[in-house]
Amino acid sequence: MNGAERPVTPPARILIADEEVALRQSLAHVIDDEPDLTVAAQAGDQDSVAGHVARTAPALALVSSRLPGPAGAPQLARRWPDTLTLLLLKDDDAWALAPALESGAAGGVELTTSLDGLLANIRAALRGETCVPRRLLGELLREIIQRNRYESAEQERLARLSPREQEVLVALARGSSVTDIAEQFFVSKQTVRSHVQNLMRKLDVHSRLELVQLGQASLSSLPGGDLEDAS
Amino acid sequence: MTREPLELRPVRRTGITVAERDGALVLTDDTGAVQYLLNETARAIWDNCDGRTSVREIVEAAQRLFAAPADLLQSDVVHLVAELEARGLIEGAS
Repeated sequence: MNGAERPVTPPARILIADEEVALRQSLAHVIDDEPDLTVAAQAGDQDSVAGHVARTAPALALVSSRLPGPAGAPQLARRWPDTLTLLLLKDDDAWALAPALESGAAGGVELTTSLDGLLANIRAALRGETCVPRRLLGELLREIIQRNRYESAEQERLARLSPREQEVLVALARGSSVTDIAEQFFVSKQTVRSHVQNLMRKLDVHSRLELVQLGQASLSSLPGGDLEDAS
Repeated sequence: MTREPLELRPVRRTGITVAERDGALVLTDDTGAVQYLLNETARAIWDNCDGRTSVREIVEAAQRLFAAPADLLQSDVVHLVAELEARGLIEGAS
């Protein structure tokens, strides 16, 4: 070649995480045929997805809406923010899109779309665009409105708690016992029990277990609740 | 007294027929005289005009969904709601 060589952009590496083998392999063939895309890895079950992401550092992960838990799109998007997550929406799984988007996912694509449409969505996500099927916009907007209402109600309930009650709730949510909390805050166990009773009344829950679950769900909204270490 | 536009809870007027045409949504009033074409984004907003949801809630949700400047989104939603009411397709928006 005469003159300076043009810089070559390597193809974007794509991870395909889907429980359906035929679908996964078909998508892999289609993606590998594209000059600007390549398949970094395929994963078929929830246990292997995280390992593949960690090992191959793909630019984008296509993730089935049926993969639960740590392999699910919201968890992947939170844990690996450098890897774009695009949800493969199965059947009536439009509900899965709102939590994925809120966790930082690039969006979702319905499997009823054409292969060209799927590739267009992958490229749009790689350009930094949010991919939301137009047909689902109304439903998605409604879902987000309901989530916002739930979060507002939760904030109002938590705002009723004193700073000490919030600290006790965080400790309970992290698995501390009444004795642990009494030692941690230099108060008597009876004082801690009194805080627990007040928490249950103010938060309108009827058992310690329910209180702990609510605390765990609200940790990110509580002072000190987003710290990794419970010490 | 005019209420704050964001606090309004518009509701779709009864008797409006809804039809798809070339990927867009056509709203027609019960006389057939008023027709209004909605794109997909406007359709999502129309779908949420249920009399319980405020314009503010729609704007806040839209801000979490679309990568657009907040003031522009708010202006667009308020404008759309006002226009739908002016054409008699929703009520409770003023």
